[in-house]
Amino acid sequence: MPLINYASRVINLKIVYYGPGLCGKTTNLQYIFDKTDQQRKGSLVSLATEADRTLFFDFLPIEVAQINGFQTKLHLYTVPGQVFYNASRKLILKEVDGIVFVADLQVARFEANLESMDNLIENLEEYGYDIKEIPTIIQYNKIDLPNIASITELDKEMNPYNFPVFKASAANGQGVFETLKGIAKLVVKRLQGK
Amino acid sequence: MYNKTDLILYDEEYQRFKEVIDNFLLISGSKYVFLLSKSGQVLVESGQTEHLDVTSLASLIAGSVAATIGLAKIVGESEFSVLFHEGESSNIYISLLNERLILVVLFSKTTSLGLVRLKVKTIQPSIQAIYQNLLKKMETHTSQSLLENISDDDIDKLFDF
Repeated sequence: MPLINYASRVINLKIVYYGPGLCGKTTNLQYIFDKTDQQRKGSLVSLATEADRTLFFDFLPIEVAQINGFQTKLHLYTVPGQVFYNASRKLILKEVDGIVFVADLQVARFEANLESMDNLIENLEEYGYDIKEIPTIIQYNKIDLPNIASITELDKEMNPYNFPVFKASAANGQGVFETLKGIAKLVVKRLQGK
Repeated sequence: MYNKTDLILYDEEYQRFKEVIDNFLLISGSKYVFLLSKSGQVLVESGQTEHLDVTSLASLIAGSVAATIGLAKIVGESEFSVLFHEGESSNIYISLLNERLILVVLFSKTTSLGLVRLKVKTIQPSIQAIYQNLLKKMETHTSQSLLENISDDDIDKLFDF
């Protein structure tokens, strides 16, 4: 649910990075944080375990260009990917405006991606949200690694609604901003009613 | 279905919320107070905000409130409407006002929890009335004047900086 504040002339939008454990959600946010100008970003808040696994969420606010004199702020969140943190994962989806599903292309994670997508759809349904009505894109991450699955095959299994697709190697920054721009545009288009 | 009712804060309601929380700040002796949406976005604030990362604070409080609602459901409550964090010099009082709004009060030893709690209760009806008014206005006014004018070119330029 976007917050449009006419008094301070700000539009706030909530974007959630979702996906299986260790797929690169936090890595996406870390790269965006590292490469964004100081004046356009806030702190990167990470609620992680002592082993650096996301416990609750990561949060990064960034400002993009103005729209009709309104400052547009993107509130980027990740969810904990580990299966047993589903209660926390569901909480982060509340009032989401856009979703980036980060899929791990490694062959060994093929099933984990499908399970995570099913879990996303299920968690959204519990809030009464329909994934088809929420701006969503899929990022196929770790494209640089050996032993990766065919994107065509994975996409056939996990993208029945033909969400836009981006390839990435988040650890090297490849595709990270392209993905962010992709989802930001979709979310603003939804505001516009397109 | 996905709730398309966005939260839109107009100048008039902003000013009315602001008057209420400005006054609350004075009568409760608090340092800083703000109204927050459940998704973690600040609507209106009042008081000393220097050296305070309000955006991070807001997202953490929204997360904390969401987790507390989850806890409440597990033990058979619909929600725990108040959260309180006590520190050595600063305290945070968090009150769930309705299905969308959270009131957050930061205060120090110069005032008491009892007074803050009492004054929060006294302003709740005013905030609720303004909120109800806002809901009605959102149904009748639309944000089309803002949104219709967004061109594809504007969207393409979101990251041009």
